[in-house]
Amino acid sequence: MDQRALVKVRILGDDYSLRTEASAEHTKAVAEHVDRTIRAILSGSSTMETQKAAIMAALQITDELFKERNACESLTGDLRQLAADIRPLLPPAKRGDEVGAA
Amino acid sequence: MRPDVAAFRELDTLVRNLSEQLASYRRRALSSEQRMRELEQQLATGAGALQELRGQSETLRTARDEARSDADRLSRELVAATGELGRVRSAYEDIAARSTPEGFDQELARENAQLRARLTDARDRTTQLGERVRFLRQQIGQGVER
Repeated sequence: MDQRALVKVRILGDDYSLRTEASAEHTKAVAEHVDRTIRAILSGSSTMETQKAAIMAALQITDELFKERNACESLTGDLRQLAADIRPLLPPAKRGDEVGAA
Repeated sequence: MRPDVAAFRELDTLVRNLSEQLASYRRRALSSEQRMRELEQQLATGAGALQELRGQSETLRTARDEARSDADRLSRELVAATGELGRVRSAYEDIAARSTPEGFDQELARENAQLRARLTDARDRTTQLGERVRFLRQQIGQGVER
């Protein structure tokens, strides 16, 4: 039996029924972000087609995603560096396992 | 598990361990400070006792010097008394050669009385000096034992 919930969202006036493991609140928030991004692109050009606006929105959201990934990787590196700085200050029994050392 | 979550959990564990370690160091530092204060108090007490002992030693040294001075003075007086005794004896012999038996007896008795008085006086002073020296030796002996 499918455990995924059915969530109804509306993007650019069209209704979509989505089956997802995420919560309804999260799914609706995602749909609202997509709707808001497409509408912002359409508001900047009165002649742009909806399909092109959707692609432009996808590019913009993917750009945000990649930037956030890079920021997350940088933050992870900082966390690991901080852990490496702290580890020598502790006795060996309390240094724990080094994540990502392999 | 996502890499960032794993890194965060690892750092969280290390920070907690570091916090415990710092708390341990703090407890040890406080304990060491307390021990240091106790040792400082003991040191101050010991310094006070040492100062007191030095004071007693100085007193005993002064008393010993005075006793030596007295002994020297009495020794000189004894030598003088001995010389006087020889002189008196010589005078006695001289008088005896020239005196009648009765006069000789009277003069002899008077000289004897004078000599006896001087000898008694010298004996008393010698006894006093001996007691003083014995007392000082006892005091010095007690000072060494402490």
